[in-house]
Amino acid sequence: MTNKKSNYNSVLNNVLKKIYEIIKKNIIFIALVLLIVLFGLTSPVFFTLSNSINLIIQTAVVSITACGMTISIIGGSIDLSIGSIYALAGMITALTIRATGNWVVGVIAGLCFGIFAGAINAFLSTKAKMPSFLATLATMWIFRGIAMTITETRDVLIPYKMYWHAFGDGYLFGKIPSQLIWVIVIALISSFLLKSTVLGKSIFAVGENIRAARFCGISTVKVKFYVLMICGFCAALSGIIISSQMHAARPLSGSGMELYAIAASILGGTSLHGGRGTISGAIWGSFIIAVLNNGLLLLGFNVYVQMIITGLIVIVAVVLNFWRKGMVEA
Amino acid sequence: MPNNENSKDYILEALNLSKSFGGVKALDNVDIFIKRNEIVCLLGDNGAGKSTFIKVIAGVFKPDKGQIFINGKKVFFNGPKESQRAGIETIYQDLALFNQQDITSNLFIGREIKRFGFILNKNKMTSLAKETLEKTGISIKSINQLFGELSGGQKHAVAIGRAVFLSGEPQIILMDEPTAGLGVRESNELLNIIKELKKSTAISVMLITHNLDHAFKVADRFVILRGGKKVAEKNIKETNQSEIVEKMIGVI
Repeated sequence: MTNKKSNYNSVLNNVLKKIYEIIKKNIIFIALVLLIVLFGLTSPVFFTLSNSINLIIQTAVVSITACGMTISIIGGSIDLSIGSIYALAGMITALTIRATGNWVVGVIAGLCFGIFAGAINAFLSTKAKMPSFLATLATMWIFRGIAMTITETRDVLIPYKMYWHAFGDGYLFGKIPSQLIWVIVIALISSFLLKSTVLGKSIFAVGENIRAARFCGISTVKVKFYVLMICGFCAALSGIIISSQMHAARPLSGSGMELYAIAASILGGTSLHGGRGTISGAIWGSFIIAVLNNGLLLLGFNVYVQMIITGLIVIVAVVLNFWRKGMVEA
Repeated sequence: MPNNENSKDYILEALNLSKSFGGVKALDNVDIFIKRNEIVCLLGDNGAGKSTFIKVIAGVFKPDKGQIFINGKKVFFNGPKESQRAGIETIYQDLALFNQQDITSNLFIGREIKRFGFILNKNKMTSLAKETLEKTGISIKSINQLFGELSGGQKHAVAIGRAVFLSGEPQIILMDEPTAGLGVRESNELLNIIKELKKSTAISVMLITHNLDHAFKVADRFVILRGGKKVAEKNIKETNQSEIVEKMIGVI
């Protein structure tokens, strides 16, 4: 009888342990489902088609910046200037389109700026030996200041329908929002880069152990340049998408974008220490943030409450990060 | 060119090597050579300059003074990759590999097999990884295991497999404290792998160890450093552990 009871306890313990591991591994999906159910029950418009499209649009910009931020954090760098790159890239695109009359040239200019901004961040954090946190904190101010100075804080209108359709409010086959197409393209390319290329392997290596990466013959400086330029590119593309959607570039847009991107990345399983993370996790993390903000808006909470919630999400994301790794903070 | 009449037997010759860090002279005019297919133990107390010497040869540090010859040809290393291209593979004390990546990735990091110049050829690397692990003689649950999940001895075997079988044609393997932190059984297995390397390949090995029992099990020759200088050099048949200890700590 005692043996039967002890066997039963042992089986029960194993089952509970397995359930705990499953919850730990899938906490993000569980949280997302709970949020969707919560908002679906409390708001009558949450599950409508127009709100779903709204949600996709809100997710798109966070997702694309989160892809770039994820690659950067995996590679051991963090970019706090992406909100400013987002704004300034939008401004540069808008001004170039207005000057040349050609939206393609404008987009190329904006994207090139994003890559250039990433290169500046990389230069400061490698050759000038500043930690990326500090380097990008400085450039966050510089890029934002430039965005506000060049038009004296005024918005720049972009009256070009082709530009709007390509990035902001177009639909493929009349049904699929153009933002969603961009998210899918960037997510697929980012995922392929990380999983299937030599550069991807090097990014994971540099992020996990930069000294070992150097001893293995990896050019750690080159990798740092790549990750921050990719992050800058993604921030610029997001800035272009939002300016296309709003039909104007706004010098104050993107404030706080870096926190959303970091939170989405960490929620999705990227390790703050570097060397670990996935693009699919970042996309799910972005989705959670968008669902949360969308749901709060529908329930009538103002943007300041959303700021509080975003801050709390960052704390939760970091705590989850430690919990998943099994680390206990004293 | 090195002016020693026996130079043609040497795979590596380091002449007058010096290296300082700030005011500290870690290596002071050191001459060390390694013959073909020889196992040399580099011995010395803490701070004697052993790791610094290994890192200079590995291309991690540039010497302040001195020259390095590989097969009689003068070489300069601007980084670890150039040392590897010269046929020198280094296994660091902490292995300098990646716990969060799988075994195959660790075997190939920095030297991946590619398609179209940038895409990983995963199938080829996986199959070569399996062959390499068989050659090292270690048994591992799954090739997809994370490196961090392996035991100390298994990790060292992977590092040796990477250095010996997946690096082109290595001529010299440098090992920094390979048995540190390993149990008795794993240490013996590792030492057997090192002895087997000498028997079945033309590779030379230089290893740093504090464990004189292990040194006497594998070495052909000992080089002893003290305070950054070379103080003695002995063939295994000409010496014993007491004499080695005296040379290491400076007892006359």
